[in-house]
Amino acid sequence: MVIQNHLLLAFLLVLVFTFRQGAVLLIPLAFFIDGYFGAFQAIPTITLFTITWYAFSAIARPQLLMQYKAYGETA
Amino acid sequence: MKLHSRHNFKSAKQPRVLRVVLIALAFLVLAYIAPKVFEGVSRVVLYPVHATHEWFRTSQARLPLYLKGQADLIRRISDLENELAIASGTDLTTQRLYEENVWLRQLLGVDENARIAAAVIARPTELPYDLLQIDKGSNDGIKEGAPVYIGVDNVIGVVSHVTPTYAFIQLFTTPGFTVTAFISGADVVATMEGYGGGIARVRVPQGIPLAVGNLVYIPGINPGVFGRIEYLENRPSQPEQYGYIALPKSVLGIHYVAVAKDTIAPSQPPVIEERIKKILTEALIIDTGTLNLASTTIVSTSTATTTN
Repeated sequence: MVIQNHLLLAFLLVLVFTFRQGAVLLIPLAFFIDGYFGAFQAIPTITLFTITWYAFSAIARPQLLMQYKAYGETA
Repeated sequence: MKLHSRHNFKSAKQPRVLRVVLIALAFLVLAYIAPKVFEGVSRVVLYPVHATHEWFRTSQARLPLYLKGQADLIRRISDLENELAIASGTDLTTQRLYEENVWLRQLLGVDENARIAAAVIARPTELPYDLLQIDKGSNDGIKEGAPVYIGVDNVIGVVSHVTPTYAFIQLFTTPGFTVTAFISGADVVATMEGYGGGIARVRVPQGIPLAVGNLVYIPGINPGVFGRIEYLENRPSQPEQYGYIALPKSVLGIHYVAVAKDTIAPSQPPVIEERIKKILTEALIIDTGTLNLASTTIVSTSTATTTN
């Protein structure tokens, strides 16, 4: 339960950070985290997920922001 | 205009995204080639986080202790609550099963397997009063006329109708049902008649010392205790007195019964007399422990007298 709460919090933080600042800065952070936990000896899950997340968000974010701004203008 | 700008923005962004992804993948390959370097760098960079975490984990300062203690307590309380719920559930189940087992064994007479246990599936008010329906029938060995028990020797009625899958039990308290009874205490044989509503009554002439609490036996059934006299109606102006006997358990509270495998054999008067004699003899038996103690005392007293 505690772990699930932490994961949820992390996911929310990542989401907010991506929306406001972009996900590119999350990639070096993911490298550091995987390096700290020695994940490069096996599969660096966090880094792979972050790269994928970056690619996805970089494509989706501008459209989302545009929609957001458009909504702001009309409202 | 908006569409045009979005298109431009999108097309300008895509090479950058590709470039970043490629660089990241290149770093990933490097990290696979030299994992120790990346681990070393990561440890240096994340050292403040690591130090804070360790401080929080091992420190005896007030704040970490308070937070850790609170978290530990919450976890411990949750664990104990779970354990308690499981334990209480198991305990209740065990107790219920144990009691049910003891009761069923008692109902079936434990060693002698001469009875069939059956569940009561219909009772008053679904059926007329003093009538029960059980879930066993001739397929299970139930015979018409077999006595029905709710305890080791507590007989309450007889099977009156049998089908292959169920049967009906007529209680001794059914109006008009008569049976010869022996009343212990008063030591008389009388006719017991059903009065209805879970009540039967015996009528005996005035002068016979009938009392509340007298046991009522059915000598035609062995073993066959029906119950105790619960109420006495004795009017000096009347030639007879009545003793009322209630079922030992409410009809609505009877959920299981034991049906004897054999039907009631038509008892001859000598057999009934024999059983009555047996009941009277058993009433004279004194507790063995007391008797042994008394005989020992007598022997020791006599020995002492002889020695003197």
